[in-house]
Amino acid sequence: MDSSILHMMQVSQEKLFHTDCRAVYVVSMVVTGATMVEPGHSTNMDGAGMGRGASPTTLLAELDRFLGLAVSAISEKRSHSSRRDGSGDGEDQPTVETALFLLRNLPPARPAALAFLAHTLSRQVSSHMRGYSGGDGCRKSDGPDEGVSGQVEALLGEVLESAPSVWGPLVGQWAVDQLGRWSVEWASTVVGRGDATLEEVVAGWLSCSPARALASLTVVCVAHDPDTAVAALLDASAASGPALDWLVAHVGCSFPATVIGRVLGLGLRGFAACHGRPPEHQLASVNKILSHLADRHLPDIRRSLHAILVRTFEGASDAEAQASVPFLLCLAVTSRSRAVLAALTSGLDTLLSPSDRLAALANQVSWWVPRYFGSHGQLQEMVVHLVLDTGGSSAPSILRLLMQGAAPTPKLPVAVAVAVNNILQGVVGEICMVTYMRRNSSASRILIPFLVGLRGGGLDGSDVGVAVGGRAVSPIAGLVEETLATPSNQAVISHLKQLVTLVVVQQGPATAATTLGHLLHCSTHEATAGHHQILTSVITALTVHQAGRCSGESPLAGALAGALQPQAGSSIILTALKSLDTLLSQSQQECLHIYSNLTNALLTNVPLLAELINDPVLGTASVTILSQLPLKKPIPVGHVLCLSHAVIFYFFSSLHETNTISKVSGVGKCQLVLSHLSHSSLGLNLIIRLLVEGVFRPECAYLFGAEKYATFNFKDVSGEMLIKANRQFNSWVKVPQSHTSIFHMGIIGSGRNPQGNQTAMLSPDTIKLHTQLLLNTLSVCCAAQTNGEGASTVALLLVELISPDIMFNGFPWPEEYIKFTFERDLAIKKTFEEFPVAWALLELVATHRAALSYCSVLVRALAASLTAFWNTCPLTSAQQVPDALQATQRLLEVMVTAQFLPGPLRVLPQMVEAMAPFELVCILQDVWVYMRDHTPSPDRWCELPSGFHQRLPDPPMATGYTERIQRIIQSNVATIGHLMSFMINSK
Amino acid sequence: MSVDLSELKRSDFPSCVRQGLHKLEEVLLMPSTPHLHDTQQHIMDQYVFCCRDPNSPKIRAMGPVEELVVVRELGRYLGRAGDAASRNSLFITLFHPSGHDPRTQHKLRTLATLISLAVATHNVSVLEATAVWMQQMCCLSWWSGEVCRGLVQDYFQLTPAAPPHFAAALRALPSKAPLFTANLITTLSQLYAKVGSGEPCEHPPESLVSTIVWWLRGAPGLPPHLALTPLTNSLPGVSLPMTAVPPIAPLMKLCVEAPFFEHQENNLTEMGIAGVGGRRLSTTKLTLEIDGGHEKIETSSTDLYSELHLSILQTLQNVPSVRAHMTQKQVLCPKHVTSVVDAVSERLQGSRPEQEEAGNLALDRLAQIILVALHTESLSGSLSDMWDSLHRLPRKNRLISTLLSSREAR
Repeated sequence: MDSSILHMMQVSQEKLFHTDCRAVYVVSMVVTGATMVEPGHSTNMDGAGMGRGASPTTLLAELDRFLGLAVSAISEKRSHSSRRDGSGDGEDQPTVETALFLLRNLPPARPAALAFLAHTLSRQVSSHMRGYSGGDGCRKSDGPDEGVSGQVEALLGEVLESAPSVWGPLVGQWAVDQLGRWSVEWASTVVGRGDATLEEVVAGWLSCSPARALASLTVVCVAHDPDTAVAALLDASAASGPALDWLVAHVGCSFPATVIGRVLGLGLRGFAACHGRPPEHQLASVNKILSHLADRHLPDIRRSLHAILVRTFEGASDAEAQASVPFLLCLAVTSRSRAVLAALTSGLDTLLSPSDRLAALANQVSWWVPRYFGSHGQLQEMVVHLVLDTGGSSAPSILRLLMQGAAPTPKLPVAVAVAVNNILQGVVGEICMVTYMRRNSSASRILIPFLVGLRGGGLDGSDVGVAVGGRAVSPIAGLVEETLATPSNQAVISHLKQLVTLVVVQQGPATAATTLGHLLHCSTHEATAGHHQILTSVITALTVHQAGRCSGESPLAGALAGALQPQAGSSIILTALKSLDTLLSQSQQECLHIYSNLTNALLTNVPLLAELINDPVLGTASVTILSQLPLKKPIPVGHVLCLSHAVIFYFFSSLHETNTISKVSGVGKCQLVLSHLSHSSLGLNLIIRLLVEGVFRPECAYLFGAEKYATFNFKDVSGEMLIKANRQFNSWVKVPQSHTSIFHMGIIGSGRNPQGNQTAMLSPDTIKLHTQLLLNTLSVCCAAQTNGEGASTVALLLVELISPDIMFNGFPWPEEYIKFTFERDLAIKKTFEEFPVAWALLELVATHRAALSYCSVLVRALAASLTAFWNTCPLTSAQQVPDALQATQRLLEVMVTAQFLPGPLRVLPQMVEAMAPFELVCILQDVWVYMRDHTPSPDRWCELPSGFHQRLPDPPMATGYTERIQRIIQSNVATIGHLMSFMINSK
Repeated sequence: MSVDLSELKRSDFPSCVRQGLHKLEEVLLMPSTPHLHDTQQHIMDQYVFCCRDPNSPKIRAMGPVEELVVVRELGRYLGRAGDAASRNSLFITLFHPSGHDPRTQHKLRTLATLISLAVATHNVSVLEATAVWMQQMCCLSWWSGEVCRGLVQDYFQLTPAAPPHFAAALRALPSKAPLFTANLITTLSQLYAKVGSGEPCEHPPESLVSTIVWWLRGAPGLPPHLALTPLTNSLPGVSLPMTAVPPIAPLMKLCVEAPFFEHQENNLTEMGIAGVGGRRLSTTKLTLEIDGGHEKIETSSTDLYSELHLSILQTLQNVPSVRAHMTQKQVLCPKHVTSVVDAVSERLQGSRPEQEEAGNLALDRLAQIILVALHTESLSGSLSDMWDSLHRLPRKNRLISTLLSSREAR
């Protein structure tokens, strides 16, 4: 070697010396440091003759002393194992001190010292337990116990603190082993009875000072070195069975997160190392510990479990990460604790919902299958059973996850969708099987946690009402809603359909109501056929189920009732109504079997529907549904009543519409419903009464041309229709002229009446249309009954409404000179003037001929008042008073139509136009005389087979009635001469 | 020729160990006969390592207390003054390990306890016998490692709370049993250095390294060349001595790879899986701080390994002075050096840019040691593999290029 290198080396060595001198000093302190602090504890040993810094001689002497005592003590115990006498405690004391000294000062003697301490403590435990089981109440003084175990705990605690890495594993293992042994040995005596709770057991053990000391040492070990200590705990727990649970609980309560994390970590490591076939006890003990802690530390458990899952998504690709999902599955399968399962499954959907996570999982499957599961089929079967066991709020989230997997997305391989479909199929199949097996059991519900969870029930099958915004929500129906909102394939929908059906059928009527209600409330696009499929199948299942159960109440009806509760809110009910409507019309078109069930159920709920009719938002939809129902057949009186009221309100409110098409269609639907209702005579009467009464009510009268009331409804300045305010009354049964028929008239004192003419009167066309619609409706209703009862009712009603008097309302026409009804006649005439619709109604009645007899009083009053009018009329031509002329003409036409005026008198209406007032007086007087002589009474008419009435043939008319009329014709021959032939011919 | 065991059969538990040992020593002195080996085994199994239950013929499992009694008896018997050769052969017979023998585990455990007890109680005789056993098993072997591993736990966790006589016992080792100390250094450093296994070094506890440094540095009254002791000692009572291995190779690996330790641990800490490493680091700091006492000297492990490096260089420089007494020619096995060089080049390949300084320090140390070893002719045998490995190292380093050019110059 050349000199330059040597020189360089010397330089570097000098440098080393220079820089390292301090380090050398420190290092030498470590080994040579004779002045290190003497720990205070060894003063305890000074009493036994120990000096500071034990010399080899001292150590050997102490060792020999210890060995002598310990061997004899232990062999004594072996030979007299039955001797359970605490008298030896005092003798143990020096040996214990020696053992503690050796433990600290002589490393090779540590195992022996610990064994001896264990032996001593065991004896104390046994004496403690014996005192307990003796039942003498006063336990032996804990003096010596406290002494030794306190010493042990103090010393070991101190050394643990000073060098946890050295002592932790040693002490932890030792303490756990001893506790495990004692727990097994004294399992039955620690609390004194067999059925003690875990808390009592913990308390029992902690009252025993050696056990307490070792337990606290274990806790210290866990605090310092969780991995090793928890592993020891796990092994011991597996070995001792349930007896050691108290320790796990005790330690776990101190460090829940640590213990859970370590326990899971160890389990996972073991699982990964053994390729999915870990020793049974390991998984079992992991499970046991978890289910212990599950009561109070569920969030910790969930966090740990999810952390394991999340790790696999964060790019960890080692064997442990890849084994984590199989591990969790195995854990879930072997776990008997619902809480653990719940911890594992809750929030899983949000955890996995980013679809790249699902894809990542899918990629791992190929790694799992030959390794941890026998085959794909086996894995799927396992998952199916797990799914069935998943309850509570996790059930819907799991199902959501499955559906997410089943929907084909570009990110996921096709195989995933296939597998998920298999799983869903398996789930459905399994539920069906269970249901079938238990079909004869007495329990009304079958407790499959998954189904319970889907219905929104709790983990224990209880009914935890899931309510959002005050209304009950069915989780599975919510899922359906979500699924339908997104494009999804047929397979998913069919699985969903089956599941919904099972939930609805198996989980009791309340669930059925909630779920069906929620399903009906789902707002879907028009095009989704899935919704109707699901609804159809649910309803089918419900009805079939009902048939099997023979229960009185139809669950379907109950469910519908729930869905249509008015508290739910208009928009929701509107959706439900639309769904029902589509369902009805489709099932009717396709002749589905559910049609009859559905209509029956709807019929049950007629009052509810009636209540909805006059909600401005829902009216049309509910009337549409009602119009599809077969209301012809007998339905309860109450239903008829409320429905009639409601529909007639709807009828009038339709007329308020400005849009002609909606007006006509609304009225058309009303006619449909009303005509059905009219098949009962009660219904007919009520309907007619309501209609006719309504016509004369101020708020509706203007629709039919009553000018006086044209501005009536503008009094209400709030802009709301009164009908809305009155909606709340409309399902009452109203008795005419009682307080129930009083309507809310708006607020008095809302200011002056607005100045008139602010709004134009309705156009004559509109009024005609309204009148025509009304007449149509009435005649449709009347046509429902073949005996002409309707027209008579209208007639009687007209009398009731228009004639304010109850006297002289009979058929006979009195002498002309009886004028005591004069005032009344004028009132009647005025009514006809104010309400033009009265004429229309009268004409309607007249078409039924015989029915007009009941209106005899009205006709008479009109005739009388018109006669009086013309009598005093100073004009030369009747045409100068067109209103009165028109009234006269209409009156005569009505009388002709009803065959009040037979034979030659039929031409009277054609004559009147050209008359002078005095001629009109003559004519009217003749008519009066004829009527007086021929009292109109219903028996003068007979019914023809066609349903019309025909006046019975009279003897030929006496000339006295027509003489004046012929004269008048003659005097006006220029205009009405052609009518003379009727007069002649009739002779 | 038969052996009379009747007296032995009558003896009780603690004394039967003593008597069994006595009988075993007698048997060992007898001329070899076919059944003699079986008899030895019988005595060891029945009377030395297992305690018989006087009441039942069944052999009872030993509890920790009984094991300690056996160890105590062994220590007492072996510790009495006597012929070193017969003691050594008795010792080797007692603790002869075998891969198939199920009792080996138990024997090794007993031996570890025995050594630990001997260290604590300054039982020189046992320590000497152990040194011979270790050298016979080869200090780098798994058996030696297993036996010595316990000592690390027992004595090298030097916290202030540890009883002072632990340190005292360690301090006394080189003067009382230099051969044992040297072999112990070899074995302990091999536990962490793993020479020849192709694996990188583990980070040894600081207290272990500092103790080794303290031992190697020598002190007044201590043998000057502790590390070279195995080369100069003969082994009485051993018919076919194995090649002695001084601790230079494993220590060299430790100190060359030391610059990378810190980075490695930092990495582990960053990755959040520091686990044991992180805790060890913190313990070390605590230890050093408190040891520094009032001065509060912050030392880093770099200084410690510089010191270790210096010790190795000094040891190598002392080789010529002891060469006359050496029982074998080889001081440093070239194969071991090659494995160290390979380990360094692997470390360098995997290193990150910010570790350049560490890499340079490692190369400096490696080159210095090899230069000195070459200079003192400690390396003998075929060196071509070693040179090939050295050529793979980066020549940027000045000392390495000097080393390589020195070969060309030769």
